[in-house]
Amino acid sequence: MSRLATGVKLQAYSFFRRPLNVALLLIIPPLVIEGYAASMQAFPEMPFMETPPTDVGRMSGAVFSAAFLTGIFGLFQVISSLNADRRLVLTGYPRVTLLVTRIATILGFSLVVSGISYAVLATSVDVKAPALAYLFLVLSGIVYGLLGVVIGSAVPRELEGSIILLFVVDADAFFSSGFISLDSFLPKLFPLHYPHSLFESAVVDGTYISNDVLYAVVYILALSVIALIVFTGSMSQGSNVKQRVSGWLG
Amino acid sequence: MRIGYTRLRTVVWTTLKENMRNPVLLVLGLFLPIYLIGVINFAAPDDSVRVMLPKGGGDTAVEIGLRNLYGIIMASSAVALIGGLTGMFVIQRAKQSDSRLVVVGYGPGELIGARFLFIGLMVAVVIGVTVGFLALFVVPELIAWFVLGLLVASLIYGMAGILVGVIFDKLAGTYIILFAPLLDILIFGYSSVVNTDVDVWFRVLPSYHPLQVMFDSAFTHQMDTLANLGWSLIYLVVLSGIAISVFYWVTRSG
Repeated sequence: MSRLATGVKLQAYSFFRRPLNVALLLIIPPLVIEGYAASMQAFPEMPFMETPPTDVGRMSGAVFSAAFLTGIFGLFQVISSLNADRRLVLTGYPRVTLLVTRIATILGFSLVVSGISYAVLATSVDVKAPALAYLFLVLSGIVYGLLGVVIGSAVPRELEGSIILLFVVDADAFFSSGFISLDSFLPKLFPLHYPHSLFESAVVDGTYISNDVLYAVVYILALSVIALIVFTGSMSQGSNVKQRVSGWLG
Repeated sequence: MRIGYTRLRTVVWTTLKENMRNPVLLVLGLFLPIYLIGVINFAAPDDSVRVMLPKGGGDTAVEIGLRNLYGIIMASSAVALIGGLTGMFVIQRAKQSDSRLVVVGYGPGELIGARFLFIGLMVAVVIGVTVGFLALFVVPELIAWFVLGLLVASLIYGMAGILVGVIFDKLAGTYIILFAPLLDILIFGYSSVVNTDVDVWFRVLPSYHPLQVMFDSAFTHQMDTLANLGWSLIYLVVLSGIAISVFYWVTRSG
């Protein structure tokens, strides 16, 4: 337990000791939420929209900022501490404990970012079920945080890792923006689909759809298992991407 | 600012070799736009939407397929993101080595030139692949103007990436350089393309003018957005000037 607490404190300290990181955490959510709302202002109420466009924009902005901020944090957390983690493993530190530390830090981070996003949203949107809405925001943060851990462990380089994260984020941001029309199962496979729909239900009706909760939980569990495999594997392999890719290819 | 071409070539060559040693970056950079254009074409319905495009001083309504509309938005965001990220990380990686190169006699001009050339090269390759793949779904009517719009958007973000890379650390820089194009192109840019009555401040965003150029050249037979192209180029020149000055100052001061 004390090992876990030390790891979490260390990661939290290394992030929050930089004033710029804290400033970005405070600036990005309002910017994204109000930015989404401003871009929706010009949209007419389309048939597929059941809520005023600006509110749809604000909700999408809240989910996106909570998720994406946590995702990048998860990615950089793993990459920046990879060498230190390998040394800890050599000295007998259990790999799973290290991973749990990373996930616990992501959870803490997601709680903070979601709190900020929620607070910004609640100033302009009437939230029907505040606790549920906050919970689903945290959920979206955890999904992306885990994704960051998976990518950071598989490709431990900042530029390449960020580009891989973009493969998911770019499409996800557009799909879940609420103002494009899609008719495929594909968007449902993206990480923000279910958290976004759960969050929207909690804000608008104060309810949730059990199936969506189930899918979101399955998504998180699947990502956790993948994170476990990739993260523990990364503790014993070379940090070179080429080595890693050749390792995968046998 | 003096520039020795042999030295410039040496730095460009070593940067290229350094990045080619790790082909993952190039593969990802090339595959990202292909993937995003492919995904959006698969997911979007086969409908169309009426968009107002500039025509002879006024606006004219043009029917655009949603797949083409979304495809161009996705292509722009992918190319801008690659430009921004490459700019930021090239500078981040080169910060220390460049200061040392200045100590051994390299001029900041040579280093700036080399970094800019590398970013330009990367952007050019990614744009080539992007336009080639996009052409499977939509062939722009005025392809040279379209490529120019895409190039300017990407270079604007490349310069922004350099600035961010010089000023901020990796984590903060990544936050900025990833959030900025996503918001600017996917959210504000998309909104300004499908709506004509957007707020005035949309027009000062980096992607506003390049996107007008791209949509005009993709879907009309005549270029009516030369003013937008002019503004885009002014944007690029001003941003490049700031990026060069900051990079020059940082490499000189070590």
